[in-house]
Amino acid sequence: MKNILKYTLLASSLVAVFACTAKFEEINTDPDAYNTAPTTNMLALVLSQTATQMGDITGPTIWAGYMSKLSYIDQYNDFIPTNNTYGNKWAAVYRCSTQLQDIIDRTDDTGTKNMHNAAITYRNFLLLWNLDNFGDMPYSQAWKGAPEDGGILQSPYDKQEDVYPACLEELGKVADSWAAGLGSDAIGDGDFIFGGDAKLWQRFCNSIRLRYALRLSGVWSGAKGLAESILNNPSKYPVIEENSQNAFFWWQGSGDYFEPWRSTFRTRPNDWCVSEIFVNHLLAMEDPRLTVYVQPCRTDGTTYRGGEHGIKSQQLSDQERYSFLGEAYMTANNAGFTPYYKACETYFMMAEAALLGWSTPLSAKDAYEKGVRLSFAGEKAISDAWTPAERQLADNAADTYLAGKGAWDGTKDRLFYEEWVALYKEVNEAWALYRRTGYPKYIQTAVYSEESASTYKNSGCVAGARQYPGDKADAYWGENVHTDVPFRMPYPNNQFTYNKENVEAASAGIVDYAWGKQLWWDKRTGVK
Amino acid sequence: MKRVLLLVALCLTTVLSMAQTRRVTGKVISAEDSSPVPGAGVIVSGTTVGTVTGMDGTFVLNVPTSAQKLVVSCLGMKTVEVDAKDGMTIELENDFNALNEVVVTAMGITREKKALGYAIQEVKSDELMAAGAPSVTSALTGKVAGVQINTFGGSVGASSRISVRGNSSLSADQQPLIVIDGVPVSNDTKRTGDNTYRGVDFGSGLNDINPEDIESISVLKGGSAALYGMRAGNGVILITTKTGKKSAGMEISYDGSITFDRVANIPRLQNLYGQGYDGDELHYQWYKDDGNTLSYQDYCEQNSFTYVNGNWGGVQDGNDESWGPRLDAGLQFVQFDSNGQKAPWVSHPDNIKSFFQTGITQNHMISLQSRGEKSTTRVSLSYRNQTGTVPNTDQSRYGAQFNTQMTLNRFFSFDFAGNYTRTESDNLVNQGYRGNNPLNSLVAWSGRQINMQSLKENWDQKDAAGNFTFYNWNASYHINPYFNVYMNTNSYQRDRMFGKTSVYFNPLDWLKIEGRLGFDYYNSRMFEKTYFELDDPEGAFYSTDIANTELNADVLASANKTFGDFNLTAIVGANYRDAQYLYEQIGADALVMPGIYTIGNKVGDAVTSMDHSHIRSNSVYGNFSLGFKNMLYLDASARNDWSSTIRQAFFYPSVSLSWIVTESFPALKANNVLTFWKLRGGIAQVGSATSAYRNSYYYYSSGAFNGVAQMYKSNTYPNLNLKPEKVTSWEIGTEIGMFDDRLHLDVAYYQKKTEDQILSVPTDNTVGFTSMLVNAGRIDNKGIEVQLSADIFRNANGFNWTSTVNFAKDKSKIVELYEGLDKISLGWTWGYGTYATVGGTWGDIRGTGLNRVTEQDVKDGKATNDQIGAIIVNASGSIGTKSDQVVGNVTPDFLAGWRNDFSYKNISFGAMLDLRIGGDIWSQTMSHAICAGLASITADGGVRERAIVAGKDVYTDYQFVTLKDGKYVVNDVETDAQSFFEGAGGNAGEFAVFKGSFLKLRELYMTYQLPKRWLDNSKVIKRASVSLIANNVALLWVDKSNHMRIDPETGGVSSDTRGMGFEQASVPGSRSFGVKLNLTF
Repeated sequence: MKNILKYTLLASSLVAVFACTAKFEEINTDPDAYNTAPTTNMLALVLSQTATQMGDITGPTIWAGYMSKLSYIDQYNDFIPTNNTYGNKWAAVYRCSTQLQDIIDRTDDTGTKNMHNAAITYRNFLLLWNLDNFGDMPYSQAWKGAPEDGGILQSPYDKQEDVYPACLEELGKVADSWAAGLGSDAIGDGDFIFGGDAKLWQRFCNSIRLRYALRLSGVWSGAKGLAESILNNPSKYPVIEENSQNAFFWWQGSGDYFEPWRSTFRTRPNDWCVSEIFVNHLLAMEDPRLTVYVQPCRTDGTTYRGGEHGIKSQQLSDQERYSFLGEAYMTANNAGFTPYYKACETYFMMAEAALLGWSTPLSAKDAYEKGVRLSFAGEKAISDAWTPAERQLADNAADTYLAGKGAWDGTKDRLFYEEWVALYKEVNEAWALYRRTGYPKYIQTAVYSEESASTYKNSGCVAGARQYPGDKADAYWGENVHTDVPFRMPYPNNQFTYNKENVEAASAGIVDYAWGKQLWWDKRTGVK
Repeated sequence: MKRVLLLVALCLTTVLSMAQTRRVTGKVISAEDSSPVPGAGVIVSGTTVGTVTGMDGTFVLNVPTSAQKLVVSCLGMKTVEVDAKDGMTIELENDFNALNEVVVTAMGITREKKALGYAIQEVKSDELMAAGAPSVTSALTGKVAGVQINTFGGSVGASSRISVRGNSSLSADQQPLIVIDGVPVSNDTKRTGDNTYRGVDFGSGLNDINPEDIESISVLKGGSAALYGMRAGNGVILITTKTGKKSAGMEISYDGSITFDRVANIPRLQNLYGQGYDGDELHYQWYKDDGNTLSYQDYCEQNSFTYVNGNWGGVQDGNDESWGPRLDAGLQFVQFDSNGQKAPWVSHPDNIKSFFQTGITQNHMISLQSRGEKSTTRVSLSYRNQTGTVPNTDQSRYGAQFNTQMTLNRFFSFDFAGNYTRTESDNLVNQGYRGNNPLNSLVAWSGRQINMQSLKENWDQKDAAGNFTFYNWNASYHINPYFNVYMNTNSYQRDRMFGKTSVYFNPLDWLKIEGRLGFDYYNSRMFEKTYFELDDPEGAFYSTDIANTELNADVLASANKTFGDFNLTAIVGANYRDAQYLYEQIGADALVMPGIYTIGNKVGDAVTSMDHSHIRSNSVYGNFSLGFKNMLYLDASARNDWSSTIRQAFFYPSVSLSWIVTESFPALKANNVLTFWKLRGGIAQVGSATSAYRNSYYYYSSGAFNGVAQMYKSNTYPNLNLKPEKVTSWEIGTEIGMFDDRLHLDVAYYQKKTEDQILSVPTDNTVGFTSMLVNAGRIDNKGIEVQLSADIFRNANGFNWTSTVNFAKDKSKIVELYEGLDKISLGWTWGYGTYATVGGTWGDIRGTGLNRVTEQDVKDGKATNDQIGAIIVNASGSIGTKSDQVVGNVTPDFLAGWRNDFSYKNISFGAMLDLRIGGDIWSQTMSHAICAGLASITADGGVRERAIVAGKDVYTDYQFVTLKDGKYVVNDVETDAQSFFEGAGGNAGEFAVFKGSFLKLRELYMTYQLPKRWLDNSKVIKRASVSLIANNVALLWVDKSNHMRIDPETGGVSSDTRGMGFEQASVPGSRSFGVKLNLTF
């Protein structure tokens, strides 16, 4: 019966339907979508989406000692797998890597060399950042979910020891390709970092290689050779060495694209302030950059007062007592910047290389001082160009500083504190610096303070102990006590949901998602 | 003629002329009021010779000379057999027996209900509108077994979600297909925002229909919908609009009503402590215990609350919580409305209530009906205006409906039905968590002491420079609720037209061919304006235009022929459907000049968006029904669909059988107990198609940055061979009428299996995409539906009482999803999500749960068996939590409606109760109101005056334990209410899950039909009635876990499946009372 019905219906309507269904493919073609897209427009989305994650205010801003929270204080047990905040960073890296790979696949080393190399550079920049954030990660078996790519729907994790060198090797290929000459193609309007200047991309590529050579200096045998090859071959491997070459992402300042820190303050002015760790250091060093980096607190307009990490929010009833970010960094307009690489970093790294006994073009002292001067000079460049007189003033200020408390003393202590100050707002780098070197030391030694605890105690209840990073025994939470800021970001919930076995294997040794296991290059001891 | 259930077409019977006849004339009248009965069938007994009465009830019939008896019948009236005499008058009595009921089924085909092999429930206009329901969805709520209607909150024009026979799909939109007069129309909900934290609910498309224009609504629940093929997977709701058929000659009617809406079920809040922190007696006691000596007044001023600027300038004045000083205790503090002076710190128990106003809804409709020899026509004009309970919210609806049918000659006839509706609102309230939802600043986070009058009087205060001061009790997180509703407004305008026309050709008396063209079109504009709110300090606006059109063309041939004891009804048809959708948005996230909402006033780039969709499908279908001696009916249908969205063609069959046992064995009726007994069963396969453009890999653009278009390759791996979802269902049922059908029971049991679900399966996000589109999964549902009606008293001239109960229970099981996938998200907010989990029931709520004693603890010797499930309290008194726990399920255990209608002479009255058991809700209001010290449980019983122990002083229905020397013992850890509830409402969000059970008095009405003798004198008015009506009268009972008495039928997140099981600072429902008037001229 069923078949008879079916065939009767089919036959009776076949002619009519064939005529009508012929256009179905055309009808079902999305008029609002494309079969392909220009690579520069794809690069554009990748850059803005990753900037949103790179420039995000949560996490490393606190862990690097720059900022403190006044409301919604982080607690030790807040670090759980999520698809927001940290999970978003991870997701953006993998998603953008896919997009960049599409660009890489559609370009080559000849006719479209600049775009090809820029895409490889940025892709590896992202992957290295993800390694810094999370440690072991899917790499060799990642991006292979499509049936035509192997249908791997649960990606195994690769060891950091393998992925870091692999990324540096990719960057090395680009460096050599560009060393043989820049391409002739335009990277185009979608390049929001370097305005399509391939030469700057070349510098950026080499600078990132230098950055990771130093980061891996304690654990990777290739570090020294890599750093020396870059530092001593400026014509073959040029790096970012002037503030005009800085890798900054400048925000549009409207729509969905407000500078993220500014955007946070714009709608929630009482949730964050500058940390006392940072403010007190600048005050102690009589660092003139204080007035650029930080605003005086609103109550009197003169005092610089940083927030105390982990103080219970309700005790901060007078939130105007705390300092906000300097205008150039936050309040001036919505179209601020997110820094990826500052020229001064090159020289601080050079100084470190010199301290390591590596071959460098400048001595540790000269490199250090050049770094400080670039940092001082760079601060004004953030908001607008110097006038000659102002330039002189900045130079003078640097001279004074270098002759005073900022004077080179040949120690790592001096170098790393200075690098930390100069990295202000480049939070991902500052957090990495802290984990690798232990500087600034204040972060780990910030301890529970009696005065910040509630005066009103009852048995079993201490309302207002410092919650994070806290004291040796967190009275309020009882468990999950750590003495240091997170060693890593928690792997995203997406992985625990859809790639459980692999993420759990990679999580061996990790305690409370963010502690327990330090990154490959984090050799600090005594942190918990 | 009260219970006329007719469609004249069915009364039409073939007239055969024969030799040797005589002429018989007569008139058929109603026994009740002697009015003529048009359309009654008059048949010579034992033959097929017959005719139909005309408008005046008369007939002329040539009967064979041998004929003795005539059988006279009309739907809704008792059939009589009379001697054939010329010039006779035949009285027909009303038939309360619903057995001969005719219902509208798929494709607009009317069928005798008894012939159907599946459950179908029809609701007539009088039942829909007795209590003057304001919208189609509210009119239908609780009246059909197996249909759950969830209206998302009490704001003006709130949208609804309809589910038929439980939930079996995983898509956001899984509502039934809506068909009006045989033509599918759109019922899409309009909600802007992100479906979690923000947005405006602009309502459901179904509510564009004036419920007073509806003659009846049939719900096709299972196999009965098979003729709709790939659109029938979620059931079909068939709406038949009123025609002129019921009128006698020409009639003009006026229907009007006015109702007053008062907000009901405001969440239960405390009135003992005001805004601030650490301000209760316990904290003061601890302070004194430390040897301090300040008075309570001075302690509070220094530590708990002093207002300076509402933004942390004072003591805790930026804090939007109510852990502050005791109210009504003689304290005095500077407050937001005290001009810097100390003022008495007193409670305002009605401050939330006083924000709301009395909403007024008025409805007016004039309709003209005419019934002539060859045509019937009905025209109506309607106007409805509603002002909301939230100040400055409103909605107006203008409607016109035209319906005509005309018989041109014995071969040709046509009909036309057209509707036009304009719906407009100047403002609909913002929803979600953002600062522009006034409710969030009143019931979730607030200072309990605030004086609403001050906010109302000063919301528009300006400084010397003419700028708003944003006068409010708090400036750090909230803005004045009045400022929100007057300045941050969302207007709406929607023009909708739908209709159809059919041309009928009857070449033979048993064959009818119909050509039908139906269309549905709307154009809507949503204009959202923000003057100022904390998330949009520079203001913003979005103007969104949506146009949607659907064209359906059908050719249908239907045949009806009797062969001996057999009757065959066959329908064969073909459908062409073309649906197009356009979405355009323009706006700005920041403005140069505040309050100017034009694109030239933007800061930076404009917000722009554009989307289109085009779907076309072709279908052929057929339905064959074979009846044997009025006792056995076999029904089979088939449909084949070709859709542009899916490359393959799909075939949908169904077959069902109905057996009237009492017809086969009349002896069963012998002792007058059993009147009617039917057994039925059927099996069918239907589908759910997909949206456009899902089977190709695309690149898309995503706005511009610095003027450069940003593009990306799709992050979803497409499925080139997508199939529609496949729903296979079978059902069995029985219908029993007893005691002259005074007791009527209809029971259905069904099972359905939903397979090949179209899933956007989230993947490991490192694999190169973030989701894959697959056809996978299987969800099984089974359920039972019961309708029981009883005419407890039945007396045509006396007291009548009819009681009807609807009961439905559906149980779902997620059998499988996709390899490697054990759960899939349906919706979420605030870290709590709804999921389908393999092995579980549709709609698990997952999120941070309470840390409870487990079986493992018992094995480890730490706990005893009776402690399993007890909540673990940490040594500090805080509650332990555990991430990713199942904390509830949104599916109700069962739903029931109980309706009672009484009448005595000219007075009728009735009431409807609606019961739901189960169906958990995670409430943001509850979570935050606990955390912020607003909920009544945070202060009741003196819990802020002393140290408390969880389980003993608070949450006494729960078992709490704590670990002492390696063993769990009854919790005795003392803590303070402030710390405890901040944890309970914040980290331990499971405390914000409550059972959504309720018993509601949904409708109440009393109607007085003016006596005919009064009206007869006037000669103008034919009929008149006046009613007192009430809707959503009372929330009689909720589960005790719902300690805030939040109306379980609310929303605030999304207006579709994603919003199920969540409540988020939604507008409480209103109780409406009013008067309704009907005049017929």
